[in-house]
Amino acid sequence: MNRRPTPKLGGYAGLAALGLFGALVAERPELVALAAPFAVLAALGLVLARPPQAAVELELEAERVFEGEELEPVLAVESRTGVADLELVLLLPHGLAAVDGGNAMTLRLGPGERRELPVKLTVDRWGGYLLGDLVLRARDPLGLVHWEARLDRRRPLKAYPRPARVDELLQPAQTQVFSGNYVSRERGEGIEFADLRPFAPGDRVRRVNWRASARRGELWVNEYHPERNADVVVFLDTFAEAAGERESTLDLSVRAASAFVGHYLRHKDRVGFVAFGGRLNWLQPRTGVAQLYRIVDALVDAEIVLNYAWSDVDVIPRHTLPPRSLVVALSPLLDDRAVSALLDLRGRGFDLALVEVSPVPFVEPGHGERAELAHRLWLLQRDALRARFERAGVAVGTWDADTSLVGALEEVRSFRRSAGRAHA
Amino acid sequence: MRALAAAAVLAAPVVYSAVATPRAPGLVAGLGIAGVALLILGAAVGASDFVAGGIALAGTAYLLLVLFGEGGVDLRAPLVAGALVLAAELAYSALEPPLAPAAPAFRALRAGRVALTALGAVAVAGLVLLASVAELGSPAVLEAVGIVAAVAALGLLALLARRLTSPL
Repeated sequence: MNRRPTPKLGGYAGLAALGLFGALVAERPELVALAAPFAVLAALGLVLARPPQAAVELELEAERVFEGEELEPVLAVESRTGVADLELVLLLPHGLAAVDGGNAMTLRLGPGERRELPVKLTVDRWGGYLLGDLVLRARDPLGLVHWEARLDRRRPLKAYPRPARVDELLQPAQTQVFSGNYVSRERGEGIEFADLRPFAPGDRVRRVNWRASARRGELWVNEYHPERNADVVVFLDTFAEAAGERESTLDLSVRAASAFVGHYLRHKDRVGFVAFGGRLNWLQPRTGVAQLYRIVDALVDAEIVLNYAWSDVDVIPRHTLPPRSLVVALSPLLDDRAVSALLDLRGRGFDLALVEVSPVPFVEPGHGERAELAHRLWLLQRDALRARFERAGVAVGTWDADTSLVGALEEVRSFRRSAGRAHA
Repeated sequence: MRALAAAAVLAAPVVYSAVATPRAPGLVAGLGIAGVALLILGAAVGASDFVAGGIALAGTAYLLLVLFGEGGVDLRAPLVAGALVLAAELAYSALEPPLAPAAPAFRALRAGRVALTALGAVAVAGLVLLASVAELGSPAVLEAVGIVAAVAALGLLALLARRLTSPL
């Protein structure tokens, strides 16, 4: 700890010196009586000033929490010599907040005493944090000397996004070869009736449709649609965001992505992830709980990184975007590179569904006729961009913080039902 | 709040000096008022030198009362010393804002320490005054002891302060 004298020490020493020499010059004992307490206090303070030898440790009950949850780390403080006056502040990164200012405290420690001080925090925003930057200030009993230190007891803390509420997600147009929850268009073993065909050697007897066979005078068998899984890739646009005081389009996108990933993985689909922006991040489609944690960890690391270089879908590894996969894109459609990449994906034949995370609520129209006109032009440009996607056969649903994601997904489903798809 | 309390405490010996002085009450009052104003200014802008200067000016006002007086030791000197120390404690505590809020019990503890310090100052000043009045030795010897004590005190303070500010 760095020790330093307080201004009081210099002041008392100066007053004592002034008083004592004044007393010698004026030959008045009253001045000695005035100066003596200052001299005694200064000397006592220096003699009593011993380094506090305080040790502080941070104990985190959990290293993973969800956005909006409360956590209660514990600061364990002890001192071999005791501290008359110890001030302790746990510095909080942006995104974490103390309940009732509980991250700063003042206490007194006896020699050898150990205290455990809980600190109540709330997680305001998802993300990765390092918690444990501490500032200490100790004082001697007379307040003449300070000891200050900044301690690094940082521990990693991951705050996972709170998934947006969704009841039913988008059904992929095409399935894969593994067992799953979607009724496939192919013919095989399943529950959903598909068609009838003449019996062929090797067919099982229990598949024979006896009524049709009796009518036709030869054996006919039932065919079914098998249940298959699908490949789904969640595509996150991290080129640009629109932000308000409390949240941004990226926050909304990450929450929606978290909901999609959890839902599709529960349906035994293979889910991949692409964060397409200033910094590219990707995960190949896989199934299982481990993949859920991988993708959520990747979501927590998602951030807007300023980058002027042009990027297109060629930079994404091919195995990350398997053929016949459903690509669910979340984008505020603010950056031309993201728009171009999404249209390119559609042009390459991917089944693309776009949830536009609207930046409009985060943008205040300016004051004055020109500013209002500019704002209206911008809104019209966005409408034209949506129409461009729809002409390309991409379903677009618009979502913002004031509306439900369920509504946006219904918009997409409705388009996909009515528009149909043209296979590449 | 503490700065105002310090000023109120410092005003007490200033008023006493201005009222009790047999000569030049205007000068004594002026010095005292300047001291109080300097203390308030120092606490307001965070200038510790102004606080010490304010205490020194108030002490000088009292010195004038003692010099202009009719002789004899002023037995109220310990109370004046206690007031100066209390004012200094309050003013210096206002200079350095706390890093963290203190619980009411802790604030009471700190207030208790300040009060005890002021009482201790009265006791020390009283003992010193008693020693000077009791004629423990010849005036020359006493003066020599005083000089040695003053120099020793300053030397000790300088030595300890140098140890304190030297790099660890």
